[in-house]
Amino acid sequence: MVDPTTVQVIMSRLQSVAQEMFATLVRASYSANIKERMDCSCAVFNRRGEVIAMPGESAIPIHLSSLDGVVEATLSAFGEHDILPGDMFIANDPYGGGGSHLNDLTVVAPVFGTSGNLVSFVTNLAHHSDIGGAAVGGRAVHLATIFEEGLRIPPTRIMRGGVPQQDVIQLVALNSRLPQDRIGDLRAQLASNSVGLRGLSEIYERFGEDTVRAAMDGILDYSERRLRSALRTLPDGMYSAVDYVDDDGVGDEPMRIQVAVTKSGDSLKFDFSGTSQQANSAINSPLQATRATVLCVVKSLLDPDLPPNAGIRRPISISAPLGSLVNCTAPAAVGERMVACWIVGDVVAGALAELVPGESAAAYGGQLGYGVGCIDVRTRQYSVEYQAFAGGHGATSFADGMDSVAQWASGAPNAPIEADEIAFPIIIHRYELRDGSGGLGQYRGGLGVRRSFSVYGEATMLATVGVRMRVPPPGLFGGEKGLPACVVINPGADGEVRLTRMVTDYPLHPSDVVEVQSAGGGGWGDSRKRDPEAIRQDLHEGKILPEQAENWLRSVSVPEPAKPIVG
Amino acid sequence: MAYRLGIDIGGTFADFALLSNDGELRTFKVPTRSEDLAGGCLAGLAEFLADQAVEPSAILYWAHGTTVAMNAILERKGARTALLVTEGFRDVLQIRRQLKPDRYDLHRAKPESLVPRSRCLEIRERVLFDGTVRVPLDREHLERQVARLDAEGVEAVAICLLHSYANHQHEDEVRELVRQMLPVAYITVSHEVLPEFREYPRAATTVANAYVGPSLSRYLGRFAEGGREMGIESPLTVFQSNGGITPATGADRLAVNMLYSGPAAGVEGAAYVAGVTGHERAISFDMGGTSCDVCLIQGGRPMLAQEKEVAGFPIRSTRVDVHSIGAGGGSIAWMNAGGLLEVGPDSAGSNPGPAAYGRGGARPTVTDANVVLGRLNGRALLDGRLSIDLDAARAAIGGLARRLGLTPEETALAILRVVNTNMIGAIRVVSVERGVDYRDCVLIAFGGAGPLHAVEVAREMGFRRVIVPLAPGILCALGLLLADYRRDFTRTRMLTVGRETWKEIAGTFADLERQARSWAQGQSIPLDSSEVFRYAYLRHRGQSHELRVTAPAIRQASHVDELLETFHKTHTSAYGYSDPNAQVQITNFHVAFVSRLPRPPTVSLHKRRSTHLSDALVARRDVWLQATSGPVLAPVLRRELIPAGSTIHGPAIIEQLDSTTVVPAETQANVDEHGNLIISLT
Repeated sequence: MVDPTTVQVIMSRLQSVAQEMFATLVRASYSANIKERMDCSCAVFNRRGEVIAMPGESAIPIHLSSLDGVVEATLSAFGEHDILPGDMFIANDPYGGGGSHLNDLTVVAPVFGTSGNLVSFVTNLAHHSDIGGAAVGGRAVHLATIFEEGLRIPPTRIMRGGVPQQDVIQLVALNSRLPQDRIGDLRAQLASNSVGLRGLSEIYERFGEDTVRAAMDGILDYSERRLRSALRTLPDGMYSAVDYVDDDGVGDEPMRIQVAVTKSGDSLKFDFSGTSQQANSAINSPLQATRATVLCVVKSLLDPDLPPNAGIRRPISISAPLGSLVNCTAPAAVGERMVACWIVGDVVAGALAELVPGESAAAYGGQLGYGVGCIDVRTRQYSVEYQAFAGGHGATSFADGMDSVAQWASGAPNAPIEADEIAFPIIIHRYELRDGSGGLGQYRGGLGVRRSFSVYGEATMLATVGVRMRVPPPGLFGGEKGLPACVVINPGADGEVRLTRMVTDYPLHPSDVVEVQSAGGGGWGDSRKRDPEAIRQDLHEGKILPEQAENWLRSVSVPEPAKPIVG
Repeated sequence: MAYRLGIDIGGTFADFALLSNDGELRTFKVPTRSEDLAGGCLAGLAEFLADQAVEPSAILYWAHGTTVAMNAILERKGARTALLVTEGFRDVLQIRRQLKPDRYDLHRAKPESLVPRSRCLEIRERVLFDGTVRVPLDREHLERQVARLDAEGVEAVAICLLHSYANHQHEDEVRELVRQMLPVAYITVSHEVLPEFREYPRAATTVANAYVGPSLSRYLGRFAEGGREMGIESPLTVFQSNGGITPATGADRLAVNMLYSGPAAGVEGAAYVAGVTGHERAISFDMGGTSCDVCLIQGGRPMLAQEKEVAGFPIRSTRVDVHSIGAGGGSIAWMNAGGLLEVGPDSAGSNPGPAAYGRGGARPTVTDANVVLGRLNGRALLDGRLSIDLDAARAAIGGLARRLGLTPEETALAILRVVNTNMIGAIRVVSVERGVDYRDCVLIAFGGAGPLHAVEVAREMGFRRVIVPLAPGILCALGLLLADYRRDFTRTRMLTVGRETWKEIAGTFADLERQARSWAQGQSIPLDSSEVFRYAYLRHRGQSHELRVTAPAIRQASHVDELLETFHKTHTSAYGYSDPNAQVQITNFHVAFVSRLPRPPTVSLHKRRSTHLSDALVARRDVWLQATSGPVLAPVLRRELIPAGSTIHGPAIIEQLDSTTVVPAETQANVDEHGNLIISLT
């Protein structure tokens, strides 16, 4: 038993270590995913394989749960007797102790205390830019199985007695289109764990093994207690929501995601029964990713400052049919799991809205991204780039949605236009908010963006990935839906083509203009209750169109119907 | 006798430091007059000079650290500003980096941009990454847009066009036309403020400059004029975020470089103390009423950073790399939803202040904890000018203690442990997170509360030595006195680093150096004592972040090898590896111009009035250092009465006008010949 202040002190010290590991990883890596987008994560685990500390707000929420099971898988693959000081282990198989798709390589390092016993683990995860497979960067929605998505790695020793195992590193590098980057990124991951090991050994020396172990238990109890006490103040009940992914990227049918939430006492149950079967494409979400999305929404709506450790999982149970879109089984492809996860976030938030109406948020505009590959005429080399554009944030019960930002589990920053034009044979014509795209309501959904560009490469091929092209983001409590996303080729010209589904290998000519439009967020509440001053301000700032303002004016000048509209 | 004068304005006080040629330092403090900053400060200055019988004409140097620029942003009191951008990109300030300020907290909105969307106007033109013009400037359209600005009544105009770092012809033309049409507007062009690629930070920095420029301009004009009227003949200089001074005349053109004027002066003061006590590596630890600022000092110089968020905006401007957290004497202790004790970031500020100040504050603060534990004087602070209400402090801590199920003393000790742990986290950010082992550093504690907490923080972390400067409350003003002229010049130019590009690399550095010299000549800054530092921002091709490395003077092809070698060494020490076969790319060039000013050999506060340590012993009181052992009766010493060369064994409390130092058991404090307290642990 340790006193609460010691728990607090050790929690803060462990968090510092996780943050230092994270900073090292971001600084030292090669992949733009890791450096610019911070698509990586670090965690301190206890000996039982439970997450104790993660870096604060800098990590992408999809990684709240990506590292789950990594330590257990390593322990079961090697057994404690074969895990020695100076060892580290790598893995990436989402079906066997990796992250939530193959690009996420995890590295586990055991921590040995002052007594020489195995006491805890430090781990990190980094999204590598290319890990082999049929498509450059692993990014192809049409892939049907995980075998096409790249190299699968079971828990494998990558460092022995402090010496990096070159054979393993070369194996990974050889399977990648960018072998030098793989070596650089892996070195960064080993360096990050080394920083973690140093930090933890200081903490063990300062406080002693027994105190640290007890404090780690106290940390888990603390997060659990904090979430349970928030839940206890809320009414018991059952809530549900349904929404759809436009299609699976190969067929035309919408994919259903459904959740029933039961809140009883101080616990929450999420049941995804009724969700579509897993897809024959890469949009499937493995359970780790579904769980991360659930945790992210719960934390956002109930207690944003809740320390993200395994304790917050205790009051929450998740059941998802095996073989469904949100709990896929091998060998389903999972590379574009975010497609499912964006909608998972919206249905979970939609169901919880009834539980916490005062903290609720309408649906997200999702993200719409593209990948372009071509021969760069400036260097004659094959070149690839990916960009993803955020839709509008759903309006909340207290404010308009923010324009074009990440909502729920994932979201990477954009790349500067000037950096993009230097690195890639592209000219960007516009990058601006999509006026009028936010769903109206008492609070308005955030705006999506419009980004248009031309690529002056040769043999240029376009691929797109995203959501909310045919199923617009719904509003909440009577709020209107946001304007859906789409990709328009040569807008306004004779040969204009509107793409409202994901494409792969779509050929582009240098004179083509590609316009990516991300969706606006859903609105919250009846728009007739919107503050007239807010409408005036919207119009002044150009965030709504004049005809929207006129329609709004007409709607407020007719008497309200007897029954309120519920969305 | 000739004098140097430093004036630092903070939120609550304006501090003055006057240094005579023979190294004698005199200090003075007046409350800040927020409704008339310059007037209040000048009145205080006149009083101080009269008091000290110093002729204004005897002041040969005066430097000012000001919060005017920062406050304009924090309080949203800057100029009515407009932004002109390339057509298609008017939303650069709205879209930002498509991230929320907090990934989870839906209540934290993006900060409202300094220029509303309705005043972001587009201009028809387009320059490409290599500087070629794709769309020539449409002057007719431009005139119509500027006419709109006129109608909007804008006071300041920021101009930020795509790729202007590669070709600024269009920005120049736009500026010229704006100048003609809006002759009184303050105009900022992005290629002058920040000629570097990445349009969002450049636009944000340009806008911030335009936003704060007019108020800084008015303020400095007023201040300089007041000085002249008083009879100070030497030109006013201003302290910049980069730790150097610049003449006040013209400083407003790069107002954004003045945002961290205050904290930078404190760190410069700490670097000076590190130097005179013979330490190359130090961490400055400045704890005041609301925040704790820490900064790494290496090789006697504060570490510099290029980009930092200011009020949520990515401002790029060379500045001391201070990390700041909400931990100060006024930080409020509270119990969170999970039943754990937390301290800060909310602060009781100076009004009502801690409960112990007796001004109606009821929530327990760090200061109250220090009072309850007997570490702070339970009757009065600031040499009796601030009376302390011990009962109010006990009541505030007692309320929290009951909820935690602890005694008031245990609660107070827990508050200190928690706030100290937060500050330990901050020190680790500027050291371990940057790959530096802090245990090779000394901790330099200043600010009103720094010396109260520093030794326990140091002991918890394994520092071996803490230094408390002779006047910890006015170290910022001291830093102002000892500054050099400095200005940083940067430019983006992307080249592969190799022998074949040496001429272009050398030429770009030479351009920047020429620019630096002509600036110095224009400002009548002496060149004979000047130095130029060259830095290159380098990366392996394919990486997207650069490392800043010191560049040699490049006069022949082989000098490039040296630059590459430095890069690989830096990369290895930062990341544990480097790839000597990979292509290395230079993205940004940076030249720092420094003109050194003569410094007095030593600084001493005043003549010592005692020769025996026993004269300094003014009281003994019960002090709680640990919960288990109960209070100990510790001697209380007056700092100014302690003779140089004394050794004080902990536990002891050392009081002085502007601070209180806790010397715990098993540590000892030595007073060096300059009056610094050198506290050794172990």
